[in-house]
Order: sequence, then structure tokens, then C-alpha cells
Amino acid sequence: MTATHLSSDSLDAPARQPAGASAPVTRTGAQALVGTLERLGVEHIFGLPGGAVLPLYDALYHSEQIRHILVRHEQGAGHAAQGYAAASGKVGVCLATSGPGATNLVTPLADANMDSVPIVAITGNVASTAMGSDAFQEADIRAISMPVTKHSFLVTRPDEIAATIASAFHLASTGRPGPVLVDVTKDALTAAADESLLQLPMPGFRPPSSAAPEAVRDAVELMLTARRPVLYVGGGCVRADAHAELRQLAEVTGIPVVTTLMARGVFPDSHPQHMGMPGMHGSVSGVATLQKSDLIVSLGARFDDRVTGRKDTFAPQATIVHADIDPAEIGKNFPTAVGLLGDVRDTITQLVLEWSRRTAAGAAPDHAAWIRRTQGWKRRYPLGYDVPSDGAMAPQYVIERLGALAGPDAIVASGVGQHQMWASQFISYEHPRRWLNSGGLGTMGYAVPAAMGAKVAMPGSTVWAVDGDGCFQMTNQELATCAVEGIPIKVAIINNAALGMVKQWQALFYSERFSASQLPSTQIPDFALLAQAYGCEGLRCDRPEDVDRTIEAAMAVDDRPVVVDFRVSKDAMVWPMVAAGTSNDDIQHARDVRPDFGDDE
Amino acid sequence: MTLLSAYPPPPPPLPTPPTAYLASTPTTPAPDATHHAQRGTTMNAPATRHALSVLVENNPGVLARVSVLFARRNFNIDHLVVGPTEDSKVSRMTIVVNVSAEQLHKVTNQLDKLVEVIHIEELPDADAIRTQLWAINDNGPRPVGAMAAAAF
Ligand SMILES: Cc1cc2nc3c(=O)[nH]c(=O)nc-3n(C[C@H](O)[C@H](O)[C@H](O)COP(=O)(O)OP(=O)(O)OC[C@H]3O[C@@H](n4cnc5c(N)ncnc54)[C@H](O)[C@@H]3O)c2cc1C
Ligand SMILES: Cc1ncc(C[n+]2csc(CCOP(=O)(O)OP(=O)(O)O)c2C)c(N)n1
Repeated sequence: MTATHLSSDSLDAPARQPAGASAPVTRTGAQALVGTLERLGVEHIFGLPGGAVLPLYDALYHSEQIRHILVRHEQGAGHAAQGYAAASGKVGVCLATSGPGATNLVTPLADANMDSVPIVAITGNVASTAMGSDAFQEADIRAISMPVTKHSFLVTRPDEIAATIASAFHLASTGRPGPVLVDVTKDALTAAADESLLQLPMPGFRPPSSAAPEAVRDAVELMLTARRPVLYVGGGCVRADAHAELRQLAEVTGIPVVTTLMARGVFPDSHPQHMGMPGMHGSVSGVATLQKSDLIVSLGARFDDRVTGRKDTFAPQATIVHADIDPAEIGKNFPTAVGLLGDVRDTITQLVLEWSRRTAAGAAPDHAAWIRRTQGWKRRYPLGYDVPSDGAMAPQYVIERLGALAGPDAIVASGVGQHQMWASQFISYEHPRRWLNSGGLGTMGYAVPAAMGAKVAMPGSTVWAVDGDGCFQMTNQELATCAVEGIPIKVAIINNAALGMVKQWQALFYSERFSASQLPSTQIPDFALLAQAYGCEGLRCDRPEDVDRTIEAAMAVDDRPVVVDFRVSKDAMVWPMVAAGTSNDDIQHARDVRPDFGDDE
Repeated sequence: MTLLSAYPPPPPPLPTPPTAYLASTPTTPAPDATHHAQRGTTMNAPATRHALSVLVENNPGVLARVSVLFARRNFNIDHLVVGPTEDSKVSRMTIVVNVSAEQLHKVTNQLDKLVEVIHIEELPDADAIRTQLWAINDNGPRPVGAMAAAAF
């Protein structure tokens, strides 16, 4: 049983165990908590102990079902839970003590909130009698986490522990997925717990509905009559496991597809209808297809400013059909003609049915000219990069080779920056849940712990972290966790001796005044030595002709983690680019090169 | 005017999307040239007074959760009253704000997502409610000179 698949009878709220059921021996709150996790099917927890959670760790000591993985920093525990969840679809779990342990979780909670990742964070707090007295290691994490979680609970009564944990899992995985925090006071963990309450009532939590049939009809009507439609596919399709249905919708309608950074892989890159990624660093065809369309069918995407560019110039001729599970997303950024509220997988199934019904009855869309035009953009403006003239290694080349050699089944977790964009552009994603990254919050340091979490969830898959030399130095201590716990991830550091993304903006918009953006990463630290110190294999590569050999050497190691320091050109930039705050119409294919989109019909 | 789903909730049938976004209703912005002009310019519609009645679970921290949502959008709350209801597990908040209808709609959409928020309704005659709240609240020390004194 997986963590997300709660048996439905355990979800009837509020449920109580029938009187006369075999009376369980009374357990402590901590034991009840661990027992509930086991009942929910949890198999892995990433965490780090401290005073307030010692009772919980004592209860975990006896659990045979749950493997606790001791991280080196609580931020790592949070991102590992995210990687675990994003790769497997199960709820990821992290655990920290009160005060600093809890506040170290804030970044991953905010990250999971932005990217709709289902995780449950459990923290201990000081005894309820000491709360509010500035007790040792007291922090009001319930309040601190309010704006960055889907919900946060504080539990002071042992009898509510079991129900709150079960409700937290239900909240995290139902509707729009997201992070839920459960803060439990130490006295609640140690007192005897009555476990008869199985679920909190939560009258304000509305289960997701499904799209209204008339809305589906209206949407299909628009799709049939539009001349230039596009399917704008987002991370919601990944969370909903809607890849098969999505492909069917694309193929029956023939409508071109763009996938956001969060959706890479949910529609195969190799598919002829795939126009690429839209947005700031999207492909020319991805940006143009969205920008020039007259109908945007948004499927689990949220019209982020990285995608729309300057909002008042975004897709000026487009009518919007918006499918999302979260009612607050529909119409949030743009007026919407038709809202399709519900799980996007279910919505797409309904769209396919209605489309088939209409076309069988003779409706004949006319998209041919548009499809030709989008295919022309794709042919004319492929992604590419310049080989550095000074003989240095192109970072794009390293990433491209890594993608080719690792193959479409490998999972890639990326940091944030230039390398993230290149990893999205130059690796071909064919399947969902193979591309993990921090899109909404853009958290440097995500890659290594997320890769660790993904590898724990999917031990049979090869997991690569593609990281920057800046990002890597934020969370690389989790390599120790990987080495000690036997989690053989692979890390490719794209070492350009710079906070490259920052440096690129300074080059373009601040006349090359590189204020605080250069790093001495070719001297300090020595990444290969650092890796060895952590009990990992450490490799280095600085010549293009060694790239394949080095990647193969890294692929051959599977008994411990491997880190490869790829020393790449310091000057490479990410292209295409829509500069922040400008219109998608002003996309630059390469520096100061603007594509010609041709005339509108 | 009922902003969101009905309360108490009708038995089983599934909630429907907010009516404002159903294509068939007249409130939907028609896909014509005028709605393109408003794109991305949501903050400059005229502000008017609104009064919301919000039923919430009677839990510690719920007031912070609600007010943080208004603060995040940089909305000032003009008046706020919280009190018990006939159900001890449920409290009622009456919130008076001065924002555009569109902004209000967005913030209530977010409010409605809070797990502890059970029901939201916009009350008719916000001006009268505000007058009453003003009368209740207009006691105690006067602010005259308080800000000016602090400036020195
Ligand atoms: C340096 C940097 C550069 C970036 N450049 C780009 C770029 O060029 N292009 C780009 O696209 N992004 C880019 N991003 C990412 C960007 O910031 C956003 O994170 C991203 O565009 C959001 O993706 P999305 O619209 O797919 O939404 P997500 O954040 O994935 O949101 C998913 C949506 O689906 C909904 N949903 C969830 N589950 C379901 C379900 N079961 N059924 C229905 N709906 C569901 C949610 O409610 C939500 O609205 C960049 C990020 C960084 C850090
Ligand atoms: C925690 C955090 N701090 C700062 C930033 C701002 N930022 C975005 S990208 C970037 C540079 C990343 O550098 P590096 O990891 O070397 O990657 P590169 O861009 O060189 O590929 C910075 C500092 C951020 N996204 N996250």
C-alpha cells in the first residue's frame, strides 16, 4: 500500500472505531503517531532529531515498516521529501525538532507550496505548558508556516494526534497537492493517547468536483471553431498522472502542444506536435505558438509571469479555456472564457469524449494553416548553442551528452540557474516524473537532496542531479547521507565558476558589472576531493573529448554516489530569452537576434 | 449575495465552479476586444466598500490565518469583528474592506481555500454595517496628536 492510497473507509470523516473492536493497548502520542504513519503506508521518512521529538524517535526505533533516513540538514529532509513525492506520486514525509529544526524546513515548505508537491512535515514543539514563554528552542512554526503551506496544524492533545496526521495526508494529496505541517507538542507525544478519532471533521475543506458538462461542451465548441488553438500544458498534468489522456487529446485534435518547465516530460519531447517550452527561456516555437494563438486551452498550468512575459501584451488574440483543480486559479491572471474545474485527467477524458462525439457528428475544425505555421517555426528556429571559441567546454554540450547517455528512463533533478534551463532544453524528456526541479520558488540547493529523495522512492532508476557550482554548495552535505545510507545518486556539477544566471543578467542589463556573481569554484572547493571526503566517487572533466568517457565512468559506479566536476565555459548564456518585463513578441533567439514570426492571417 | 458555495451545503451534489467563470452566464467577460485591454491591469478598478461574513472553525490561530491573506495582497481591513455563533465549534467574522469587486473576488477565492474557513458570504449594505461598527468602536482614547508626537 502506498502512502497516498488511503483506503476509503479510513477517510470517512469524522470516523471512530466501532465500540467493541478489539481494544488496543493504550499507546503514547508518539506511538500513536508512528502507528498512524504505518497505517497510512509510509515507508520512508527524512529527518533529524532533537529534544522535542525524542519521544517520536524512540517510537520510530521500534518501527519495522518505516525507514528513517538521517539527513545532515533539515532543508535536505524537506527537499528529499519533495523529490520522493515528485518522482513517485506518493506523499513525502519529513521530520524535524522544534525551533531551528522547524525553521530550517520553511524553504522546502514554500517550495512545495509553489510547485504543488504533496509532502507532510512533522515537527515537535515544546510542552504546551511552556508555549509562549520563550522556552528553549521554541518557535511558532504553525504561524511561521501559514503563508507557505496548504495548511498547518498545532496539536497539543494526544487524542488528536492520530486524526491530525491522517487528515494532513488527506489534505496534502487531495485536490491541489501541497505541503501540510503538523506541529506536535512534547507533552502530547509522551501522554497516553486515545486513538479512536481517525480523521478531523474539516467542514471547510471541499473535495474537488468535476468539470460541468456544459463547460466541457463550451470548451470543445471553442476548440472546434478556433483557427489557432494551443494546448498549454502544466505541472498539474504531472500531478494528475494525465500523460496518457493528454496524448490522446493532442492526437485526436491535432492541436499543437507546449509544456511548461513544470510539465517537461508529460508529453514526449519527440512528439511531432510538441512545440517546446513557452516562457522566458522557452523555444521560439513554444513562445510563438502560445503568443500567436487565438485559443489557449490551459491544462493544469497557472499563467506564471515567466511564461506570459508582460501581461498586457500576452497572447493578445487568445480566448482562454482554463482547466484546473483549484478554483482560485481560474481567472486569477487573465479573464477566462470557460473554466473547467476538476482533476485535469478526468477533464481531459471528458474533452476527448466530447470532441469525438462532435467530430463524429460532422464538426470539422480547420487548423491546417496554423499547424503548418507552427511546424515552420519549429523547423526554422531549433534550440542551439555556440561552441566557445576559446576551446572551453560548452555547458550545453555536457548536458546534451548526459541526457543522451543516461537515456529517457533516468530521473534528472536540477538546481536553479542557467544549468536548470539547459537541462530543460537539451535533455529530451519522454516520460512524466523524470524531470524534477524548483520552478515557482526557484530554490538553489534543491537538486542534491531532491535527487536523494527520488532515488529512495525509485531505487531501480538512475538518478542524476544536474547542479550549478553555486547551488551545489548550498546542500551538498546530503552526499554524506547518500554515502552512509546507500543511496547512489549521480551529480553533474556544471561548474562555470559563477552564479551564472546572475552573471548573465549583469552582462545583459548591468553593462557587465559583475557585482558578487563570480565564484572561485575551479580552486575552492575542489569538488572531486570534497566528494571523496564524503565517501563518494569524485571525477573531473574539462575537455569536450572526455565528456562521454567521464559520463560512462560515472554510470559504471553503482555502489556509491558519484560527483563529476564538469569545468565548462564561464561565458555561456541561456538563449532564447524573453527579458523580464518585456513582451513575448520581443523574444531573442540568440543575443540581439529576433525571429521573424511571419504575418498573422 | 452569495459569493461562493451555498451554506449550509446542500446534501451530496458536487460543488460547481464559481458562476462568474461559467461561459454561459452573463457575468463572464465576453471574448471580445474590450477584455483584452484589461489584461494584467487588475489593480486599478475603483474601490468600493464591501462587508463579508465568514464562518470559521473556532480554533486558535484562525484569525491570523485570515488576516495574513488580506495582508499578503496589501489590503487594509477597515473593520473586523469576531464572535461566537450558536455552534461553539464555529465563529463568525465580519470583515469590512474597501477594495474593487474584482480584488474582493480574488481574495475570497483564496479565503475559501483555507481549511478552517467554512463559508463566506457578502453582506448587503456594507455602509450601514460600517456605520454600526464605527459606533461600537468609537470609544476609548482619542488618537489626536499620537502620530505627530511620535515623529519628534
Ligand atoms: C530561473 C527560472 C526560469 C524559468 N523560466 C521558465 C520558462 O522559461 N518557462 C516556463 O514555463 N517556466 C519557467 N520557470 C518556472 C516558472 O517560474 C513556473 O514555476 C512555471 O511556469 C509554472 O508551471 P505551471 O504553469 O505548469 O504550473 P505549476 O506550478 O506546475 O502548477 C500546477 C497547476 O496545476 C494545478 N493542478 C495541480 N494538480 C492538478 C490536478 N490533479 N488537476 C488539475 N489541475 C491541477 C494547480 O492548481 C496549479 O494551478 C522558470 C523558473 C526559474 C527558477
Ligand atoms: C536560495 C537562492 N538564493 C539566490 C537565488 C538567486 N539566484 C538564481 S540563479 C542563481 C545563480 C545560480 O548559480 P549556479 O548554481 O552556479 O548555477 P548557474 O546559473 O551558474 O548554472 C542565483 C544566485 C536563488 N534562486 N535561490
